[in-house]
Amino acid sequence: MLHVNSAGPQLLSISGDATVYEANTLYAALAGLSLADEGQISIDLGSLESMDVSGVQILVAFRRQLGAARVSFHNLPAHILDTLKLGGMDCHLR
Amino acid sequence: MVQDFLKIGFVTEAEELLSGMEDGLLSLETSPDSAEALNGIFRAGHTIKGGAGLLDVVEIVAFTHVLENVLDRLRKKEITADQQLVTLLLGGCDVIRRMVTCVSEERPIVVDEDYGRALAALREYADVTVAAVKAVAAVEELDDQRERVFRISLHPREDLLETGQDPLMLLLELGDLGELLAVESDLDRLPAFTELEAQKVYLSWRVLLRSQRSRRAVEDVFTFVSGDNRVAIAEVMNCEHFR
Repeated sequence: MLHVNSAGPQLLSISGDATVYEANTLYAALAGLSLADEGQISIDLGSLESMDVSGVQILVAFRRQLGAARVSFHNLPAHILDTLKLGGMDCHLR
Repeated sequence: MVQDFLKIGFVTEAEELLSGMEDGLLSLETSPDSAEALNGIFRAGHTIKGGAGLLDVVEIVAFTHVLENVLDRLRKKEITADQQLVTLLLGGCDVIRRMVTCVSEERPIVVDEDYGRALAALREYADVTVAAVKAVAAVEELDDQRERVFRISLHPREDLLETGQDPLMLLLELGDLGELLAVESDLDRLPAFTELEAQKVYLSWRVLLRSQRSRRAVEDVFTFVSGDNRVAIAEVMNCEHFR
């Protein structure tokens, strides 16, 4: 089960499965966030259990939307990082 | 008009076949080795897949392909129709029925968690067969074990994930053939966040694979995603500098 929590205007955490089966939920949650207009936004991915191509695409598009320099991803679990490396996608979430 | 005729025929036939499959599966609970029941169930699954293929309902084709694989293994007595598998197959029939209903009502097929779970569980039973096929292919290639480097590009159709396929699984299978020297994913097709359809695939991939397997073995990885998925495989003629 996917969860997107906002611990403040510039702190987000995403947990659970960021896969195609939860893609619409993840997209809607991010689209519905009220974020500060300026400043850095930190997204904690430490409690993610799985992620596939759809999850990567949503996060990358979200970061582009807000401005690549504003958004940073943190704590990507090692097993997900390994999967993303396999698909040459780890570079997109650095 | 022809498409409507095909659709009505497919829906009617699929509903009858699904009922027959369920009856057959229930009969396996008392007669798990019944060749008549197993053959009937297999033929029903195969016919549904064929009909879905005619209508280009890729979600049903992808699902019934895996289901058919498991049923074939049952027919060949490679696995046993125990209670757990019968329950799983009955659940698979439910998933197919829901998709057939979507076709009937001209609604888009929603690939939900039930679909994903059922497909993943069925693959558990189908994997050994895939491994066996690979083993046979490996034996056939024993006379030609020269090292090759392949340059592969994959531009999946946007609904690939929705059909139950996963590009990462394809890359994993490629990795099983040898060494992935390089894997690059390309975000060029990724739209703006506001334009993004969450379940679509926009990424494409370029891969360099070093392998002692044949080009055919590489092509086989993409057997189930051919069609609108653009896959290009080229053998690098001079692979000395990849050593």
